Amino acid sequence: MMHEFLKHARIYAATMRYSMSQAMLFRMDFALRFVMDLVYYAINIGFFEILFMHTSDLGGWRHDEVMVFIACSLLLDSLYMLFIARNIWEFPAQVNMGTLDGYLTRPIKPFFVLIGRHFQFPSLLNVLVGIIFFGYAVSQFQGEIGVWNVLCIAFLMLNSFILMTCFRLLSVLPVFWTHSRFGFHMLFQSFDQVSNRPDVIFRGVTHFVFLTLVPVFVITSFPARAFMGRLTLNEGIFAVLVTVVFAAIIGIIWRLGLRSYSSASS
Amino acid sequence: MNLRAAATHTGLVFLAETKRLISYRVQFWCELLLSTVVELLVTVAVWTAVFEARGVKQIGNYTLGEMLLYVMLAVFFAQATRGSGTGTFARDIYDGSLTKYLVYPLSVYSYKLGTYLPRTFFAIIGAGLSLLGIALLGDWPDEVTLSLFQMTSGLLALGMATILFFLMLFCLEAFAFWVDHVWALSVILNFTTMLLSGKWIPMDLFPQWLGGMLLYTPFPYLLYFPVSVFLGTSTEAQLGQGFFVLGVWLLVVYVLSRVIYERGLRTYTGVGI
Repeated sequence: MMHEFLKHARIYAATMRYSMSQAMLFRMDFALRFVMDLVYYAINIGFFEILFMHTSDLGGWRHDEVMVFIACSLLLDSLYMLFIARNIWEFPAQVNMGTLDGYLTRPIKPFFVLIGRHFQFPSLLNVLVGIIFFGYAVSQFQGEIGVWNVLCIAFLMLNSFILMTCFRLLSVLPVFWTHSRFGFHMLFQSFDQVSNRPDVIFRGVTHFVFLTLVPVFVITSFPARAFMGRLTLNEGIFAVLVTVVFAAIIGIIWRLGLRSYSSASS
Repeated sequence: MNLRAAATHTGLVFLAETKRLISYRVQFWCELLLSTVVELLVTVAVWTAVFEARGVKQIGNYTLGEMLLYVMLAVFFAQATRGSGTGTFARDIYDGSLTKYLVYPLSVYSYKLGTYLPRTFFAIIGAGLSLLGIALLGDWPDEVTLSLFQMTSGLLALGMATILFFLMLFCLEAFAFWVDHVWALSVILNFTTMLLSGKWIPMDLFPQWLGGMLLYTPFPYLLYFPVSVFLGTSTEAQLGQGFFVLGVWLLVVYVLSRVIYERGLRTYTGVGI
């Protein structure tokens, strides 16, 4: 077990080194990816800044609370871009063109192939920007901040990162059967807009759907609410349970997918 | 290639691309419908929350009904201007398949426009059906009336905006002649357009300094202008001025795209990367 873990850790370290040298080789691409994420952060922050010129609160949340929420959302996004995004973007092509074979025949865990092939070195800068913005949002926060809040947000951010990865995997794993070019990428991209808005503004069926079936509220709103002291213990347990259920679903779909994978140009 | 031949070429490519898009039926309809519904739910939730928080009937020039109609149209019009098949021009340059446009009597512009328009077509149908649905359900805001003139001029503005955005993307993708990865440029343009074209917030609610500055850019003409024309919130003077500026931007970006394309062709080897 420990031997396997160390083996995969060494492979991942090599992947990181390779990513760094690739980033240095394609400097323009490196810069553009960094700018691209900065623009994404800017338009999300800009949206709420303009909105708050016309209201003093949003669903009962003050400006400083919404800023903490955005900071959580952007930090999660940057971590996702750093570790996972490219693996998921490239997965449909690998299934459709059969290049997945090359990875499956290697003496490593197949699931590691799914999420550990790429490390996006340029996004490391965006993680730093995310951390700085998070620090700024926390400094502006008018509520009380205790050790418990910090521990809660750290734990729930980790939980959200796993859930976000599972959720995104759901968008591409169906290519084992659909053989489409991008999977359900466009649909899942539209869910980003939901996760970039606080859950408190949604009501009724919409709120229920995005809390349970498509749990994007758990991903971004729950960590922010935990930090603000607005998350109940039951909600915290629910967040962990949702992640466990989604991880189990991904495990099942991945195994079924591999069974139906018929190699080159399937 | 004359204009008539280019239009015929675009039409043929449009039909072929539409068939290709809907060949993955379940995925296509599922994605198109669900992603539209999700976008609409988000914008409706945001503005309902803002109106509730303010406890007022009107923000700027918009009642809640007008605002919801605006953001709904903005969602569909944004889908229309963004089109389909983006990124393929840059890929053609990378893998050398651009050569077919140089060897055969094909215009890269008419071909790429043909692949771009199917999504526009479906978005316009979606907008029409949604407007009809709102009217039939009796949720149509009293303050808004639609005339044939508004609708035709709104659709004309949308058509021009679609071609303008297509040309802007064309310019960015043409940098693939010199740079190895350009997809980030298109993504940056898409992100920027979401906020600065008035998709999420109508531009007359932007702070004055920002709104004033943006008037010198093509962004307001990509969404805010077509939606305003369609809903009849523009005055006659604004209408004429808007169409004039949109036309000028179209011309400028077209010329720019030709300059970049022709310069790029000088460096193009046709062997792919």
